[in-house]
Amino acid sequence: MHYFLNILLLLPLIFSFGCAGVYKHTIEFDRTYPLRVAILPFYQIDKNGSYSSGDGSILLDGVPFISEANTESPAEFLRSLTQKEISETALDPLSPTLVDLNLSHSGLTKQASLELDLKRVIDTPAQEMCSKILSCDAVLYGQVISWDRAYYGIESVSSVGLELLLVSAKTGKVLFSSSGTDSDGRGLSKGPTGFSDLVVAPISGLDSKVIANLARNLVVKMLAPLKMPDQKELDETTPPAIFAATHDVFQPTMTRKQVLTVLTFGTPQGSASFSIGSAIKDIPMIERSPGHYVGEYYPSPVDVFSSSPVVVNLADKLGRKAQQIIGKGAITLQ
Amino acid sequence: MIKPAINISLPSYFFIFLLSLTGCAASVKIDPLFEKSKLVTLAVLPIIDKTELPTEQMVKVGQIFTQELKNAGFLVLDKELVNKACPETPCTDTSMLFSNFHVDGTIQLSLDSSSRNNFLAGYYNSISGALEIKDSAGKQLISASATEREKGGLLFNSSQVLQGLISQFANSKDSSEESLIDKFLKSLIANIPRTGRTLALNADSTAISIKKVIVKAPEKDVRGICVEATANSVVSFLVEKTKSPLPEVSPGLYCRSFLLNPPFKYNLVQVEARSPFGNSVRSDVQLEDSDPCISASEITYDSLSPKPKLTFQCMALPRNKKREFIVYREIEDGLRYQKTATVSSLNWVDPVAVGSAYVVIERSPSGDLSLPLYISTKKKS
Repeated sequence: MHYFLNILLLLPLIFSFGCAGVYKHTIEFDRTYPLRVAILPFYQIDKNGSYSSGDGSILLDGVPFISEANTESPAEFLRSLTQKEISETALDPLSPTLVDLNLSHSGLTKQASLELDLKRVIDTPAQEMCSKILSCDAVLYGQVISWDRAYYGIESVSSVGLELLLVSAKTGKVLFSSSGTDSDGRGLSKGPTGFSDLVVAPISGLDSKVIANLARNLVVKMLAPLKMPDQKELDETTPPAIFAATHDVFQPTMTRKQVLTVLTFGTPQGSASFSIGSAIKDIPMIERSPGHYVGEYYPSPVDVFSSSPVVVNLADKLGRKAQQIIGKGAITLQ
Repeated sequence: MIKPAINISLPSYFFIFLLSLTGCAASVKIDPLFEKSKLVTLAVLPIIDKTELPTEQMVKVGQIFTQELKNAGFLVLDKELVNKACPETPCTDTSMLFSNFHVDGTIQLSLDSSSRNNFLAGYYNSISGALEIKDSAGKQLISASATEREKGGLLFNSSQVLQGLISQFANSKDSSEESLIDKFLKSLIANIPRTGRTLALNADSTAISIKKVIVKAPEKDVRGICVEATANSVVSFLVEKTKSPLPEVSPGLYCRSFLLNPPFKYNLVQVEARSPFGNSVRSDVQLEDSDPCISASEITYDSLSPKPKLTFQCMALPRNKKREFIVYREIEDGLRYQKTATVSSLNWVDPVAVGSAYVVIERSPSGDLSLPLYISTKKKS
């Protein structure tokens, strides 16, 4: 009885230290549009209200034989993770090198220094940022809310918090916002198997690997809505399907004076295109009547392809795709 | 009191300690020339794969590698351009990359081994490989190799049972392999010293501009899009969510014709020019304001007028742009037409009032003629 009472008392403590992620997001745009996004340097605001990218030594701990070294600050690390995740969405992120370079060249640096003045960078309106400094359609701001590793003797807890804001350069409206905080503990909450483990596990929980993995998972979860729509939306709609597809080249070769017409019958109100091998990519198709798509390829003098299949793609508004290779054989342009 | 679930002997601890010592080991060889070369722009050569990773994983490796290089401060040459210059793996002749795109160096990633071992009580995954950067003379500037290992599950987290279960579950997900690749590539690229790369950037390599967008209408629903932009760049036509590359038909001129949906009310119609290193500019395209712009449905006949009245409608016709409409009236035999009037206003009343049918041709300010369009004097439905 006494044993069970102890367990019951431990449970709230375990849950308070355990993974307790809080994630919120809003999305106010069609995430399948290829907007060019400038991911500005991430920042954190200290107690004095000054903006910084954080102390590099916070992440760098490189304890021999225990911890890997990392030369990035938390803000830089989270930005690079975000950059990678965004590149896996339909959005088109600008190269971070070019962003930083253009910000420096626009004079958004601290006096007599090459270091960026993050407050001025963040305070620059998105419209001005995309028209005068960078060439983009939207700006992504990232604020590191928390980056902590706490040691409590029998438990160590790593916690990370981040806020992301995607702002349209055209309208100034917030297109996407996401905030997330998450934590990961080592020690009592993760079921130590002995007294020695109760001492050692919290110390090894301070390894930068733990907080780096936590940050990686946090960014993945925060940007998941840009990759995939809500499960409810997915459940309520059927994915696109191509029922039939054909083209009007009956010989294996076509001439440069010929126009290749591709017809597809599939799910209505989709976005259809076709490609010929890897040489001719994504020729748009139009929906003449519900579900009936037609596209035409006009050869250009510099086009070259041989024995290439014609492949039709159909995507729905949620970004789900269907693909079909037209079964009339490969074609060659003479 | 929580009792130990698994007893690990002292030799096992020693073994795990040894494993942690050997984990993530990297070796780097840097040539003295590396410091002088100040690499900024790189061409990523097709990956040499000695493992048996599936094709989709290899695509993922390529994407992550490129992204990590960008995060590390490099400008990476467009993959399509590299593929054109190096259609075969391994790429034997890289001279075109240096001469055409002025890259500072080429980078070659090779994956040597990859393994995933799941033995229920634990898992042990590893991936190893190397990278090599060469200059235009083919001299190796840097070579680095690394191995990333990841272990978990109850066996390797014997001191933290719940963590062992969590990590074992996480390892069963598809994303776990991506995470390992991610860490491996990050640690491999971290071996390349940062040598003031951005300061050494040559502005010419990233310059990009769109000088002019020309839209032609060879047929009613077809638009020929021509873009004058920086030569040797990647130019695309964007219509809604489809991005279609335009071929470079002559240096700095990119053209292709597309079948599009009249009245061309798209949310997004743009052309994009992208430098070989990824920076881009976009410009809106006015599909309606093409040369010439009229179509059959845009010419109407006013049956209420005592004399035949033709109205030419062109949605995209700006008020300040002058266009000419050449009207041909049907001759009595019904087979021939005679030039009757050349008008610049949007209305025309036939003074003779004998025509039963007309053919109208529009001449644009640049002198282009539209296809002949037929209109009968029958009552509108």
